[in-house]
Amino acid sequence: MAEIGEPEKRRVLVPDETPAPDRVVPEPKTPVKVPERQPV
Amino acid sequence: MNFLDIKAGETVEIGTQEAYRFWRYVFPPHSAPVRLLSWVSDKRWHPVKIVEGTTPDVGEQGIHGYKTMDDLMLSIRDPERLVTRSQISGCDGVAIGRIAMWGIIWDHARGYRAQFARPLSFISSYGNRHEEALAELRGSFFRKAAA
Repeated sequence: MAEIGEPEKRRVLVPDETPAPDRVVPEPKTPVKVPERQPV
Repeated sequence: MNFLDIKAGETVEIGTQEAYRFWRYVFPPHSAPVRLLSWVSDKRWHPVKIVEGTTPDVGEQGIHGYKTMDDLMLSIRDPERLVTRSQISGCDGVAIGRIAMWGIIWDHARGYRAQFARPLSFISSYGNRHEEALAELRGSFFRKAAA
């Protein structure tokens, strides 16, 4: 691409968005076991 | 993104930077969907997928975009000139659109170079079967958003 002029400043941007469909973390395959409450 | 790229004392902004850019498009043989390619490299842009460019901290690398549509048009002057150049490289024409950029970004006088980008919209196209190319690109990249 051509002619965007002289560089001026460096920045860092982190997107605040819902993840794209291919980046959604899958559900765990094994169910999470909730420990039973122990008597105090 | 790699948070080790952030330098000490540097401010991290939340959000993306919108910009304008142009691509080459090509109709592959056997009625396959139109393909979108970067202008300088042969990097292919796919629907849904994020594009990661080479690091903007080195030379003129990174994904390029213009600040405004006027900056883009001022730079390319005549879109038909770009069509000729795209066809020399075996493509069918040129598409113009808007992108979101993030990661490391270098601000320039009339544009940006960024680490990551994805298309937001396709505005116009020029070249062989350009109306068909524009409709196909909009359909394949933004079908879910329109549904």
